[in-house]
Amino acid sequence: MIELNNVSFIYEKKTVFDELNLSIENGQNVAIFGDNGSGKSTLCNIIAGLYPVETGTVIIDGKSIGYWRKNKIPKVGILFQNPDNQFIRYRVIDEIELTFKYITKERRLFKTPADVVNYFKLEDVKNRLINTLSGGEKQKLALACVLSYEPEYLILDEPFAHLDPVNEYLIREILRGFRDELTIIEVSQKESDFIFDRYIYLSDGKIIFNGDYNGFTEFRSDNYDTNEIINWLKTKGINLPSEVQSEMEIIKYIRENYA
Amino acid sequence: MLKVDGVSFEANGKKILNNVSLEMRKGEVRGLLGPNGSGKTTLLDLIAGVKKPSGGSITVEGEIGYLFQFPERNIFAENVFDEIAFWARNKKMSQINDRVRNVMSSVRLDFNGFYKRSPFLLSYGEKRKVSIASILIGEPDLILFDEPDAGLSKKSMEDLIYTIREYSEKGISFLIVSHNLVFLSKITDKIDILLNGRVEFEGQFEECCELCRKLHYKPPFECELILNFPEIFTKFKNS
Repeated sequence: MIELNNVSFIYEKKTVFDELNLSIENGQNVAIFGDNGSGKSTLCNIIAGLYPVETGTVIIDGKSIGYWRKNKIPKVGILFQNPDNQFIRYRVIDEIELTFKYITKERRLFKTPADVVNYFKLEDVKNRLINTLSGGEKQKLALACVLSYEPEYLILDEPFAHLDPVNEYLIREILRGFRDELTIIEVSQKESDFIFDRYIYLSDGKIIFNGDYNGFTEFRSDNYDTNEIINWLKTKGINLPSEVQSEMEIIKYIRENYA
Repeated sequence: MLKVDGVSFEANGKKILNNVSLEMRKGEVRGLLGPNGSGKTTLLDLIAGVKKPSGGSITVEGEIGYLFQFPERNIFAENVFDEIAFWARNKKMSQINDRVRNVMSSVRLDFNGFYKRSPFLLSYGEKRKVSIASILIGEPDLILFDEPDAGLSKKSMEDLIYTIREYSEKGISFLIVSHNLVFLSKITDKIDILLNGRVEFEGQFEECCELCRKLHYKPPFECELILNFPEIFTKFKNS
């Protein structure tokens, strides 16, 4: 379980969080939404221990991040939006081997670098230079390196932003294989077809929504705008009555009146 | 104003672009869609002159502004003001202060809140906005945008759509790479789809719905209507 108690954080003389409280239970798939600059990435970095907090505490499974780090136990993994920010070595295999150097914990799934190569099907690219990989391949390698540590919590900071739908699907499939042992926190801009257990909406460093899918759909429906579609239909000669607003109603109306 | 004629590009013995042709007129907004590795970024690199084609020719009338895929590669100055003002100063434009304020409000960045800050310490979406502003200020004839929408929230994306419309009305052409067909459908006159280094499709977004569905791109709602009621929308197209 991740618990943030009265966390305050100042970045560049600007208060990002003021007494923020949040708890995330194990096994949950959590999505974090919010406008640019609302504090999503900062929240990720705080949970991952990359940013020390000003006041308040961040507790992971009963202990502070510092405790886990001191004991070289990788509790939290983070996948950045730009995989280039994550790589240290030149060759694919060197990057994977690096993940075996500094961790003392007992591994279950990945006991050697070869296990990682096999699981993520990286055999063909393992001797290539990382900078010659395509965007999708790089993101897959970055995910392989993070999961190689076998973290219990995984933070995804918009890793799908530059991926096409097929590559996004492939990465999501890999993640599904870890569903039972991973708690996933995903920052996202796309309200995709993927359904999470919980939705958090940040605005100016404050949590203004925290709830499940149904609640979130309701929360977002206020902002929903079909004006563009209604105008487009007008150019096609279809004029909708003013009470027809949502996508479902539009489909129903066209089916009943035109098809 | 842009003519790409039979361009090919090879790297490490691999053919990345194969006989690609594309023409754009002044003020046109063109979308470029395609899976990872299909050659979209390479094509922009060739047009911008970052890379040289191994065959074919590229002609551009006027200046080019290029927004890279990752905004970290665009930025270099110590503060946001210098970053955005760079091109205007280089071109010896007048009233730099006003121009910076102007483009910052176009991308909805608060001038007083941001102008002194280091662009390197901003969030991903803010970095992108800064790099977009630093290109708009130069008022080039052609702007190449490599995934300008990635990492932008819904609200920022609406601002971006508005900005692109505004600048294209001034006669600036845009060539925009994106994975977001909903975004592209709102701004583009025409869409090109690249597949394995070839232009597989060129036309209105309304005509590419089926191909996009095959490539698993989430179609805009308009596409869903077209696919659901083909008889209605072909009827209107013909009439």
